[in-house]
Amino acid sequence: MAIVKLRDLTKRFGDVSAVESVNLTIDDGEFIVFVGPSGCGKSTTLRMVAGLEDSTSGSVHIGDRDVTRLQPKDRNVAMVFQNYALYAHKNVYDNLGFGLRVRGVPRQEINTRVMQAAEILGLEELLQRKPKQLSGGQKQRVALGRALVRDPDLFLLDEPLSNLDAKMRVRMREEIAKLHKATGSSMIYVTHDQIEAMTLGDRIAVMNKGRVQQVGPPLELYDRPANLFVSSFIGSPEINLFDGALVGSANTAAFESAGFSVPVRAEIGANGERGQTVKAGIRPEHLKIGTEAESNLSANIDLIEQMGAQTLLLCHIGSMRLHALVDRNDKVRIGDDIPLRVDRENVHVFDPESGKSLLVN
Amino acid sequence: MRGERALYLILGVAFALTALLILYPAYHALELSFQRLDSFVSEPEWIGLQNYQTVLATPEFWAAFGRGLVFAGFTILFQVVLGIGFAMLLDAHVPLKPLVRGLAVLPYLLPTVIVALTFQWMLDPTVGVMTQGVRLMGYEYIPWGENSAVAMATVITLSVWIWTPFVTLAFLAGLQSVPGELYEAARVDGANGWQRFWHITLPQLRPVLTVVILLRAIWMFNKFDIIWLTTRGGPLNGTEHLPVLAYRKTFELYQVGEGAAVSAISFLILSAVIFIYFYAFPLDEKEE
Amino acid sequence: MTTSKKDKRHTLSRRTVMKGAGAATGLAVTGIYAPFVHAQEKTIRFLNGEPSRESVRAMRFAAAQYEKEKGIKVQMDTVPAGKAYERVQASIKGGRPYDIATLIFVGDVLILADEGKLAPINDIIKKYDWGPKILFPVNGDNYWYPYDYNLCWINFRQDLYTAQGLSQPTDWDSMKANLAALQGSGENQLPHGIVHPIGSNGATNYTAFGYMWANGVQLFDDDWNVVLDSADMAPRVAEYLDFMAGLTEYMPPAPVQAGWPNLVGDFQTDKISHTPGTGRLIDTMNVRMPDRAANVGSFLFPSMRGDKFAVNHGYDGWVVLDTAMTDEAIKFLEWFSDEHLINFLHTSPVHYQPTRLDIYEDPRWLAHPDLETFSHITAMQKQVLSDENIIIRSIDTEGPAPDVRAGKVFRSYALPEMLQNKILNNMSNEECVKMAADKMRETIKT
Repeated sequence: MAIVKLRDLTKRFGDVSAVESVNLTIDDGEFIVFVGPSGCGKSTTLRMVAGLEDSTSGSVHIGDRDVTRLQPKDRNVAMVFQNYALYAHKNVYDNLGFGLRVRGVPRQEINTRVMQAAEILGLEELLQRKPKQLSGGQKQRVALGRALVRDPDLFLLDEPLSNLDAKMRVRMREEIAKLHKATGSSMIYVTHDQIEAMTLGDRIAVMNKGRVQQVGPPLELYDRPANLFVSSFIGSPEINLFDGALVGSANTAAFESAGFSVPVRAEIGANGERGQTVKAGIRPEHLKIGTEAESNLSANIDLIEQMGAQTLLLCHIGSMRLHALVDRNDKVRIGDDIPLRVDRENVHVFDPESGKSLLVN
Repeated sequence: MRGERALYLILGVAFALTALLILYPAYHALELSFQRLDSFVSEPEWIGLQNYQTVLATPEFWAAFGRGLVFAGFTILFQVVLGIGFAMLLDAHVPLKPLVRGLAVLPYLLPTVIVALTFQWMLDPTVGVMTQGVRLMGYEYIPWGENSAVAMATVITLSVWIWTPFVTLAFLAGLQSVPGELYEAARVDGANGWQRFWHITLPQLRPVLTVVILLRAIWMFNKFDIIWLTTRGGPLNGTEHLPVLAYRKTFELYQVGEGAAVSAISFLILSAVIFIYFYAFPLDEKEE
Repeated sequence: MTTSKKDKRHTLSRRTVMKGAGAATGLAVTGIYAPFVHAQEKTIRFLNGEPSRESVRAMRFAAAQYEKEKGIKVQMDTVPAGKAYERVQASIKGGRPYDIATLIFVGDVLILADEGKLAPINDIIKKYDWGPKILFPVNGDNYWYPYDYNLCWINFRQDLYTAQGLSQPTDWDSMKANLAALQGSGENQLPHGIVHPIGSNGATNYTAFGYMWANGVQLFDDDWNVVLDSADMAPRVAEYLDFMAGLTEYMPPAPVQAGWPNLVGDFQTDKISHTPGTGRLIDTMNVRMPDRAANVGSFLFPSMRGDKFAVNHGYDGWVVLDTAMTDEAIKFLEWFSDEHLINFLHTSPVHYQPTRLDIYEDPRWLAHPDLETFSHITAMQKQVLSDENIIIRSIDTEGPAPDVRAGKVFRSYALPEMLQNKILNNMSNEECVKMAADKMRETIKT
């Protein structure tokens, strides 16, 4: 168990910067998720923590050890790979025990720890099987077990669920969450899937173009995205973005666009300048169908997707398109004009140049 | 319908060619082994298994058989060990990779006759480059053609030199199919280089290894040209294995029947070994 | 006996041919074009075993002459002499035997004669007066037209002998003394004295045993018992083995690896002062370096005590096969023998030592200028045929009569192995001789 510190961690391939000055402290027992689009540097960062990739500059500390120049085997980390990376010719038992065996752990202890891990992961019945006789979910459980028996300071999981079908992914997600609770180990989990990130992470580090965009608990990222990228990467369906300007001040501060105007938080009004060109972001689920009186904007429906408990509306206001995710509603029709409202807390305003949220200064 | 006819036609031609070029000569050789024959044009006399009895009772047969095992065994051992080594070297990051790989294959492309002659020149007791080199290094002249053990070591070395590239190529191809993740997993698990080789590379190469050893065993056990061209089975029969013995009996000693019997026995032994081998190392089970 | 056996063969031969034709599918080419060539009447197929350019040209010229004169085509195929027997067998198996073929091994002739594949040529043989030990009749029939003796003796550097005032050796000690005098790095010296292959190969069989023959060694008694290790022979063989072991002092390293190329090459490149061989060496040198060819002298293999001398027998000849064209082939051979043999012999005049005594007197043969230039050699050749103290012997012609058993011993390499055991393995003479004799007995056991 250990605190993991990444300091100015940087990786360049020639002139191309894959990871740029990542600074991050992972608390003991914390589950942190690196999320971002492919090529954002999340896997490279993970591999630098594992020691599979040399860092160009910066350092990695695990506990009180500087492991930056250590071999993977000397870092006491365990890793789970996207393609499981099971040893094809070894049965499950030997796959689980391999990391202990090569470290010269006594046979008796290997057995104890393998059996423990097998029990936790429900692999007891499969110990004599070869990997090719296992389903994808079972394989991933073996891969997890292989990490588990090692009792490492840090678990590293590199897109572990992306080869599974949707159902299995949900189940394994739960298992990983339970595993984390049971072991209390620090874990770094890499994924491109923001739902996995939101459901699993104690904290999430959103990465893009080699840089960490924002680090925080899932809901903080959702509620207070630090920039345009985070706002649109976190949340589904994707946030609606509008071009416009800031008007009024303090309690009368509002975002005004062609055809509508919505109030914004006072801090935003304070942080921004009056008349400043901005982008505003409103999540589809924060748009509600209101009465004519209380509505902020009126949109015309282009398409209706019934999703069961909710209804997704694709609308336009003038030339701007937007989504609205509303409670189930059987009455709306394509072509209707509907009045929509949004609370000022739910309007995110960004500087269009820097992309930064006006909520933080 | 027409496709089917074409298929039968092709199969028919293939079978006819096989029968003509393989089955008939094999049958003919087998037939010869049951006959007393001084030459290929002699009137054959059917003597049943007598040639086999005679051949199996002679120490020279068993000596040649033993030498064949030594030759094939050591050749294969070194070919495989070096082949894997070179394949791993070539698989790693080497500068000018395509060129180096091309060069590494070169010995395999040379006709055996050329190699045999070149080595004979290099090992020439008076003017050979090797002879001179050994002398320059202050060592005695190596009696490569005068001592049975040295001659055997020489033909083994030559065979290893010529045919290791084939093994290297096969393993190189095999290495391409080993997922890199496995090595990374093992590195994180704590395996050192040797353990990674033993637990990942080797098991992953096993299907290739099985085929390569089988092919090399068949080729080396039947290998005639390199020995005949360099030592002619000498000195004092020190490198005479079954193919050379069969040749000498058939074409030099006026014992065509016995020569054919030697070939037939050699064929039977090889077939038996291959069947056992297939049983022990089934090819189709790529990952057990 | 022979006749009845042969008659049976004739009735069988068609069936054999049919079977052979099947077998020949392996040797596909011959087999496939056989039928329509058969239709081409009056072609004699001749397998020549002398591949030198001049010899091939002479044979082709004779063939062209014959076609012009008699209207019968003679097709000349040429292979190295060592491959001729294999080619003849293949041609018989393929159902298209050659009509005339070169053979260089009496064992091969005997096998083919015994199988009824050859036609006797008694009438031609009868016409001439032959030298000693050159006809190999089988049960009174001659199947073999020998065209040269191909004897092996020792060629040496006459110029160095003259410069050092040496004379030709007459026994083993004087030979060693000469070798010693010429070996070194001084003036009129060469790095080594002589090369003698001792490996299990034809070169050893042909060039290494002259001293042993001169020392009176025989391999068999009159009943084909091996006598090499008899009380009479064993001491002489032992003397020979000691002598050969002593000769290695004058040889380049590793005689076991030496072969035909060393015999010629080492001599021409001034590595050795002596080399066993035939007149071929002189003919070859005479083409490219006539000055040096004139400096080559020759002497016979001496015995230990200098009482006898020997040459190793070589012989080459032609056989006529039993085919549809046999009669025409015999006619051609007779014509060739009278009209063109001398031309052929002139293509390597010193090497091709005539087998017929009449040729030695024939002005056509004597007209070749080289025979004048190298008269010291030809004189020696002639002496070999008449001198009682000169032994003509070889492994493959040993024994009371021409017999395939001698050929088997030749190819078993029992005698080269005896040399290897002595020189490479340092075995005692007794052991070497005993092993060789036992191997010979094993080899000729039927």
